[in-house]
Amino acid sequence: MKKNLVILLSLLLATQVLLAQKVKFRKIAKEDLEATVHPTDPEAEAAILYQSCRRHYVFNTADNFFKLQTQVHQRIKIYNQDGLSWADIGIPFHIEGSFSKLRAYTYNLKDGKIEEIKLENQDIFTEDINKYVKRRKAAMPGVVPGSVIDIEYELSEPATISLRPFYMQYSIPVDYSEYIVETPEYFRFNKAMKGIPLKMDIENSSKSGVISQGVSSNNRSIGAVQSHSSNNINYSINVETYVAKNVPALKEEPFVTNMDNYRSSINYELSFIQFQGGRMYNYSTTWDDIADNLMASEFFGQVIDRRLGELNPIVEEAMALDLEERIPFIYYYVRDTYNWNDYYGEQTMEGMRKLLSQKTGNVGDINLLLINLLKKVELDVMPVLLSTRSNGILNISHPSFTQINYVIAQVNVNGKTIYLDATDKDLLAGYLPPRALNIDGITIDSKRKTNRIDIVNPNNGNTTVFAITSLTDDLKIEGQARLMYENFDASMFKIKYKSAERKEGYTKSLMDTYPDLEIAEIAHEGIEGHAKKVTENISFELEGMAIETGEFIYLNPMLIWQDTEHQFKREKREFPVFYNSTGNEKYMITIKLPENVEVESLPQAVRLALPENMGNFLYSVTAMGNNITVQYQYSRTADMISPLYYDALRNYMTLLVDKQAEKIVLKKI
Amino acid sequence: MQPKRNQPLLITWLFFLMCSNVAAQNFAVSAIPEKLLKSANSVVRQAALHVEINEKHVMEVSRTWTITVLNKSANGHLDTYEVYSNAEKITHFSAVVFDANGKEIKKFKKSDFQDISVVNQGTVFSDYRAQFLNYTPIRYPYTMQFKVVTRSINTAFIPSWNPISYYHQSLEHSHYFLQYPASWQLSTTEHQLEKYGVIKTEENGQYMLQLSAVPALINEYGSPDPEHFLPSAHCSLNHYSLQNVSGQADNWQQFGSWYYQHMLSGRELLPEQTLSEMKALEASFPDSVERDYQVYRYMQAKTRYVNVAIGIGGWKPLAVADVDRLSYGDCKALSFYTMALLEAAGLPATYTIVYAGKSMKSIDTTQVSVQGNHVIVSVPLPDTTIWLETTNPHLPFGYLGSFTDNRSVLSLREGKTYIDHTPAYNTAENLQSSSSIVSLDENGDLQANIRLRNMGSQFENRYNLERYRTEEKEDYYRKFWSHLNAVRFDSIQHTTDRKTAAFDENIALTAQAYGTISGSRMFIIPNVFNRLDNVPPRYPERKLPLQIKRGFTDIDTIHIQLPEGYVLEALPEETLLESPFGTYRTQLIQSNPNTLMFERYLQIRDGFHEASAYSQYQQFRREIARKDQTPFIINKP
Repeated sequence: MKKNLVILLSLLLATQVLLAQKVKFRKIAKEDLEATVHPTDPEAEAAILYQSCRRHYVFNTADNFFKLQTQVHQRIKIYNQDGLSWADIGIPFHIEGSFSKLRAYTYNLKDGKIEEIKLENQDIFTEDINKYVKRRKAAMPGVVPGSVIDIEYELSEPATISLRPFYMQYSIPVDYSEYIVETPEYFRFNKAMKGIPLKMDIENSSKSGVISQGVSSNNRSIGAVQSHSSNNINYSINVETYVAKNVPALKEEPFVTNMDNYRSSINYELSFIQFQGGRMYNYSTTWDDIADNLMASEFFGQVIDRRLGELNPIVEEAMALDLEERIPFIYYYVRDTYNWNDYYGEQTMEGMRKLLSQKTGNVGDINLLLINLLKKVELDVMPVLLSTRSNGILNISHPSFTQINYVIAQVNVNGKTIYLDATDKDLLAGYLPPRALNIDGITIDSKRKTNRIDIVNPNNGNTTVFAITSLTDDLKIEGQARLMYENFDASMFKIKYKSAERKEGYTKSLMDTYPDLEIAEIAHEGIEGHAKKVTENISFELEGMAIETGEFIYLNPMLIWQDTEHQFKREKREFPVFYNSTGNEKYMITIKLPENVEVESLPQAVRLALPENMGNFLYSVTAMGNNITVQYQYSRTADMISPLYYDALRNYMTLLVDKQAEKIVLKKI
Repeated sequence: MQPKRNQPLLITWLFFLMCSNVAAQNFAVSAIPEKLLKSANSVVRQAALHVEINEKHVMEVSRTWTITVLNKSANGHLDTYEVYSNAEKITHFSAVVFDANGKEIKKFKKSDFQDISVVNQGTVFSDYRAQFLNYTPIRYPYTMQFKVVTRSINTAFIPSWNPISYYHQSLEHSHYFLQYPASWQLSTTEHQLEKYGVIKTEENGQYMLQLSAVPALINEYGSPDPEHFLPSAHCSLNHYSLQNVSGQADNWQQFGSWYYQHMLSGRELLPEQTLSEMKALEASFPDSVERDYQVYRYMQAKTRYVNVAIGIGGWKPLAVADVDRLSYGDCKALSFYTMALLEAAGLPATYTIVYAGKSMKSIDTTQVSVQGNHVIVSVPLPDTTIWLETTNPHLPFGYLGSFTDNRSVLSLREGKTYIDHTPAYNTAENLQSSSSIVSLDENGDLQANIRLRNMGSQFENRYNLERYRTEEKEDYYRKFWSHLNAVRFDSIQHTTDRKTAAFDENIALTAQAYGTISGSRMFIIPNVFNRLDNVPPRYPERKLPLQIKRGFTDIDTIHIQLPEGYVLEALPEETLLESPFGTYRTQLIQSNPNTLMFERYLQIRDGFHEASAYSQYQQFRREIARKDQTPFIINKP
């Protein structure tokens, strides 16, 4: 026994030598205070010089269960005035948690000497964030550009299903970061690394622990540890150490769905608890287990199979239709009758009773009702578990409940796969809102077996524009246009139209966007109801499209539909570009010229494609007598473009913009 | 004269009569008069604000409001929250939902309301919290009625009456009722009451307003601050209390001494070391402006903004010694600290209370009361007054910016209280000037060097750029000059002059295909870098006046080198646009066969204009936008 302990100790020591960099609290190197810029990131406003977080469990006899202890030491260097906000501390903790220690100091160099300023207790505040979380807040004293801050705290909280993520990466550089998690053998965790893979040293070891007063007559809850007559219970502790060095600052990029997907963190989630010889308490292990749990739950599986007598007329009405027609019928019934309360969640929040009477519910309420009804009308339907964009990309290889926060329906009919989400009032059957488009999903079939699916973005739309116009003698463009929005584009148009508040608002917003546009008449078809197509007819007059110098007139071929710029301004990109939809745009514009001009030159036709058939456009301007025809087709087949093709994408868009800017040159005769 | 007992009672009785009428009101949407539906997204069916203040300085506020939401965009018009703190407690909060027919469909009681902290930022510590209701409407239109009662020990702020608080919101009925000890003196500031036909009833100890049938207004570009066109009333009393510190003031002098005594006095002592540092500054810098500058820079380098507003801390600054120790504070603390530093350096300064924000709101000089939401420092010198904003370490010396410019303020120091006015930034001072050299090649690609200087109120539009990271700076310019394609930056340099408040930008860049080629011609827009291309919206029927709060002047010069082999097709004429709102002038001069010089002068003057003048302004801006994008044409013969 003694020998074992020695081995264990030396093992632990070895770990220390290998990995942990011992940095003593309140021992600040003078060089750190003297530094004015970060060595590898001279523009950094601040840096985390050192951070160490140790999480371990301590048996608490009063609760007869383990408590989670968190020990943190963090050292921050402030380089300039913008970095001062890093001197504001905010530590969230469980409402029943308590700090056994919280010490923090500011260090400044004053006349070559190190000056230490203590954060006084009176300057630390506690605030309630919500029913579950509180926060310790303080502003560090005496902080100026150049300061170093040293913070140390110990926190005790009830053990919960998951550990708060440990972030290895911030918007400032992190020089050294270590995370030590010590878990009793009774607890089994799923571990997941999120974000950009970092070069990290990981070490596993174990040590032993003792519960000295394990006797308790009151064996309550899952915390029950087998009663022993002896006073001591020995158990082993798994120790995992993660060390990352010189982690660069994470920088934001546009067109990224959620930057946190790329921010490196370590996540622990409880899979099961099993005490010596005791019952196993399962939390989550495999997706199949999660599915089993969900399907048995009164907030999920039981909802799908629940009898809802008052909806029988709906079911009966649907049954009279062909199989495939039942899908839109049920979908639109749910979409139009029930209102989303803006809460996510794969499970019900209000429950079916309340949903049916109040007509309001979360994603779980509405989409589980949708699945329920689709099943009742004999369709092959499955729930699809998702993580929304704001929640981060699903980590399939690390099954866990907490990753899931959304559910939609998948229907297989006549060889087709259709996704349905009834929480968005303007979405057509078969399309998905951007929040639900996050690469992966997990289906649960009738045998409660799960399948990972790659959700192919179903959002496809078409926009077609026909314009018949003429150029007047005073260089105005007059004419009519018919614009047709189909499928996803129809939904997008409806959203735009409705958010502008009715026809006047929409017309006004159109005229505000195009100050040279005068709308004589405007009419829409297909705004209300479930039509997949919205048609817009406009009679308009347009100024400023043609300029005259000497004997020449120069005309913009695309009129108000010209793309004058594109959004890919940066030269380089690290992360993929995501689009919400794919589809086509087609323009056919004719411009009748006055009698007293002739065509001097026209832009040359061009056809261009992105690599791997991800998209293409076609542009041509032709003249037939005094009629000019402009044809433009743009199609996008990929909803995601890898950074490898960013250069190609940027050049393609630049050429597109450039091409449309070319003018028609007319000569007066 | 003794107040007659029965009259106040009569008013109270009237008020309750109105309230009971309200309770019986029909909330069906069909009962809303047609003219109140025009342009409306919501309708205030009934609103009543009842304020009762007693001699013990307890203020009870009872507020009911019933609002019909006609469509989704007006859900935010419900104001479903109430802020509270240890001093101001909510004693009742309830809500009722009615459907379009006015039938009650749901009820909420106080415990159904959620409770949140109102501040969630790292730099703010406060005991203010809010209760709010989260309700998802089932269908539109619907109506909600709220009732909230609060009890406060602060009588220094009496809730104001602002019966119309949103655009696209019309109003059926609104009432305001204030009851206070009859021996106290009430002071009121009223805006637009007559214009809206507000009925006012006033007695000793009571003040009541009522307003009916106001159609919805739409938000119009460049409209002035609400007090110029919306009805409102603001009240204060000559007896007041703040966190159990009570006072009485009939003039600013009395108010000032109360304020100084209870909020500032005894907290102004600097630690010995800092005191001697200031004494040393006094000795080294005999010139008072220079010394003031040195003290300001000392304060900026030493402190940061952190807002601690718990209890009386919301009004009383941290003691000077604490700021010195902690190196942080809010606007009160940092200003009071700066005052102490200046004082120690032999420069008497004043604690200046102001309403901060772009809207130039002045301290209401007719109401002797606790006002303002921000504190700055003014330093009266023999020939000038220097104004100091203490919460921003990046601002130049003496620079206030649009945050506190051009408005009446309350200045306090021991034994002296007076109304002052902050300096305005005038049209000529708000100057942006640029000088660029641009050359184009035969592909239309462009290479350019730009030098830009920003002054006056234009300084604050850009000075933060200096502290961006390189990629952020590049992103900013790519967006700012979004009409340039595939921009690459060779260098970006920024300098700030902290004494004259000038921000200089010096940029070298290349861009692709700036010139558009069509056959043998190339189209080049000579105004490469400064286009005013956002045109204000058109309104078929403009209702509100137009106010240009801050004028500005832009002067740009660009030397353009034409590509080899091209000649100018025709020299465009000089442009001159003159209007009551400003002047726009451009000129293209050919200095030699392939060099052109483009000059642009734009001045938009500050001013207040009637609604009828708006379309002329819109036209003026539209012309400018068009001219700014007009190319000249070169040809390869």
